[in-house]
Amino acid sequence: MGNPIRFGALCALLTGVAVAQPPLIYNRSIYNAASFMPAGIPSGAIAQGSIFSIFGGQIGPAKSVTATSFPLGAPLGGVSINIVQGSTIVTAYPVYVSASQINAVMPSTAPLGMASVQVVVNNAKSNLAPVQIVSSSFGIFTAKGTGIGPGVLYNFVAQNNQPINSPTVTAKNGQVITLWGTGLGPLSNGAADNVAPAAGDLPVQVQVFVGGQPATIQYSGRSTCCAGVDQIVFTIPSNAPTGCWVPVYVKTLGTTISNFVTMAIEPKAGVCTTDVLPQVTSSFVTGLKIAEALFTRADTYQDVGVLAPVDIMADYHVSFAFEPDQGQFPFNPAIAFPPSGTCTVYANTGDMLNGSPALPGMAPTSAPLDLGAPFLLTGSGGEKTLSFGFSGARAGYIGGQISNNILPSTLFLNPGSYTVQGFGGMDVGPFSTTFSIPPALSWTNRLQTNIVPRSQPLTVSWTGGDSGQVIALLGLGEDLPTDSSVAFVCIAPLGSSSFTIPTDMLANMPATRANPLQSKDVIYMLALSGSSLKSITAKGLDVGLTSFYSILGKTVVLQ
Amino acid sequence: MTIRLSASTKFMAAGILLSLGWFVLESCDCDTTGFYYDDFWVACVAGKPTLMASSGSSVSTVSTGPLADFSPANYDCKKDSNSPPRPRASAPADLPPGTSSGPSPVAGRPHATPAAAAYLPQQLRLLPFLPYVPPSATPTCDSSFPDVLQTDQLEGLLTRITTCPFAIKITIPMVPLPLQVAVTPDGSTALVTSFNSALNFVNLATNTVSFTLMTDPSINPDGIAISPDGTRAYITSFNTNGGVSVIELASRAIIATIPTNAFPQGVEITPDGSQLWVTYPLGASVDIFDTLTNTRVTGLNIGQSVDVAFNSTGTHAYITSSGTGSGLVTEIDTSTYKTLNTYAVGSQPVDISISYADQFLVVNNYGEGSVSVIDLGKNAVVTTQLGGNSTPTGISWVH
Repeated sequence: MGNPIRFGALCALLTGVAVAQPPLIYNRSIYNAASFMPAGIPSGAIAQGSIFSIFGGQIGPAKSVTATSFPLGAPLGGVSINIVQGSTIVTAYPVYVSASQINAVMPSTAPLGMASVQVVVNNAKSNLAPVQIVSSSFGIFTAKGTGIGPGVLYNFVAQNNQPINSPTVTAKNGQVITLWGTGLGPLSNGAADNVAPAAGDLPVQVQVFVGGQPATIQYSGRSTCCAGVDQIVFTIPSNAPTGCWVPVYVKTLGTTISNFVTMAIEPKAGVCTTDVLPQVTSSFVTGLKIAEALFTRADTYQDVGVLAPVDIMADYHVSFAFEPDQGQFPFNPAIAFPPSGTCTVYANTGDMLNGSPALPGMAPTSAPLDLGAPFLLTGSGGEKTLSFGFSGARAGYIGGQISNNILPSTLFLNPGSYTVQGFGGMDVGPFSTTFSIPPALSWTNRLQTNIVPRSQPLTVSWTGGDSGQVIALLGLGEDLPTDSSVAFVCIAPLGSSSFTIPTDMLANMPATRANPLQSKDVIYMLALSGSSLKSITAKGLDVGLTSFYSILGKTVVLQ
Repeated sequence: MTIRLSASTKFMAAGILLSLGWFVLESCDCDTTGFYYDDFWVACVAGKPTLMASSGSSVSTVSTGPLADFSPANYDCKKDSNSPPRPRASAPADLPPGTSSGPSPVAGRPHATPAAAAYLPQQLRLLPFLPYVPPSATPTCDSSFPDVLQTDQLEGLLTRITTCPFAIKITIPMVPLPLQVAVTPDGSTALVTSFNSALNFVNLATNTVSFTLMTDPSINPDGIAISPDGTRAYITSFNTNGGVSVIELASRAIIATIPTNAFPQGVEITPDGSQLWVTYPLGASVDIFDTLTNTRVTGLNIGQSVDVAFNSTGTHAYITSSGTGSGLVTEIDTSTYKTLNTYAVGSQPVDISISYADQFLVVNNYGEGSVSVIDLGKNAVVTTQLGGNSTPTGISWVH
């Protein structure tokens, strides 16, 4: 893009000019205050009458201010918020203001469609930041304030006894639950958003699903406590699955899907139990010291956005040890699997395929336990020192193969018997464990899984693999230009040979762009656990496991 | 070989991420110091952090002193002087929950930062989505090879060049002083700015000028960007009046003018189409504009800025500038507009382009006739002199 005109004057001497820093709304930094779903996905819009969050710099006072009484008004702490669409300007009601974050109520009268948000701090105006305003887009509040994991759901025991649901304070099928969120929709009949809301159902179609089962709703409207905050009272379906992290989501207007949160359901009172990798999850919930040495073969067939289809196989090892310290609401997206037969969905700003940034809760709060020097793996192919090929992790590549003679096979993790040996570290002692890699899993309709209409259920089928294996289906959809990612995770019932992914799991996945290089859309089938799962017994560990996972992947076009 | 394996590694990463291995990769608390190395690790030997290496089943000591990627100060051997050390950094804490009396609208997920990415092995974050496919030894030319469009300012031409075989296909007369060219997303039309107050619309099917938009004489079109949806074009006016003209491509008319400082030149649009970034090679800033309202968002104090490139997700911007001394590429966090990094390149860097999968930046250094390649994974810059009297301008990737 060069041209001579630019170069003629490049030698001009110039100096920078210092300028005062006005309020600045960061780019792509306006979210539903409960779900934090990115704006690039269908449910990332802001609903009339909902609480939304703005992130930025110098957008409020250094010391945060919270609205404590009605009526709400602006300015709060010197901050007011304008919603601008052409010549239409309405004022949002701040409920919390600070230098870096504002939470405010989007007026029920805010204009629908694309609009702009502007923050005014002591008469200094910020930039105009785009926002899409819709009539309904619900977000469920979460216990950790991250938009994923245990939701803010209260178990109804009695009027004066409604504890918050958690893995240690579980609910039962048939129990009444109060769910808290924001974004059901605007107040009707000209009701004001800045006063204590009146009780009453809002005129919007609302559905609640618990473990994929529709729940009976007793109430769906504003909480009388708080402006912009909604309550949905529902009964846990009798056929809802039990578990520590049963997915819960809300659908409004028959089309808009909320963030997915979890609740714990247990037939008997007390600590929850899970049916997926119970050795791991129970240790996670109860805070035991756990270590794993995992081996996996990933086989991904790529036929989207490439000149010619290519099949890529790679063997990897990963090991880790940690002592969970998860508090009242233990949740890690990589461990908190939904119950068998159900699905959950995660949405995040960023490149989820790259793990950038990682989902909230992925990073443990405690330092990893030390396992010592690299393990030694012995099998029919010989010995492998499991060096840490990936800086930043106890993980590495063992071997691989790429079709079309691009890379001859150096695969190592072939079916057979293996022994993994640890030499001991500061926290975990030495060990030696033998396990078997089972025959290969086959995804029978993988090549036919190419174009995936998001409005239709998606069925996948498989044969072979390990006895007792748990099949997990993972879908990742990423829209690069908007930096938005969505992933679904489904766990097939034990012993099944096919699974149908419901349309609600696909609803928020971004459609593949016309230029497929601007999207990353892939579906994986994972065989977890099974007979290859063996115990590791070592000093310093409460639970130790080694296992082989088979992963089959396929790039897809999401329509 | 690394590239070949990397695509599968990326997929593997995704698989791991959502299996237990996801947690594994995240669990390593070693984002800043590189707790483990390729075939290396750190152990406490005689109470001192020591870099160790393995080969097969044998283990050897590499160093107890600082190396390029090993800083003993980052490790703590106090707990057990004979065992591998703990990294000093602590893992990030979870955010506060809602209050017990009800959901708190106050606590919330802070603005996303890229820091968490460091929990993944670096290789997994650098990998291309596409597998490497080696080219055949003697490529057979066909129509699938892309063409290159080049403006010839002195002759007033747009030249279309085939890349296989490398030859001029046709020259198309433009309004005098054609400067920059952009192609609509559907590939049907090339838009060429002419400093002499015109925007040329070229039908790429017929290689003819389908329309010429003559602007007001006060406008001297220079830089051009087309919105990702192909509905609008933005052209800078390189004169004292400045300004960016917004052109509706359906009607081929100027529908708005965004005021700027004098002599705006480069204009780039973010991948999501929400912002314009405008450079001033004679000025002291880069200006950022919101395309919904055509209003200024903020400015960056980067002098003598020339060109901007965005990564595929639009989260990082890379800006060439001359300043004093050697040229610079400044890396900006496009969310907070803060500087993340600077890279020293050759003198008078002008054009910049980023490769697919965001691995490499390529910069033309007009002042010294060189090309700089920035490896974003390694934060390394390699500058190569082109020799002769080269004054490189213009970059295009052939995919």
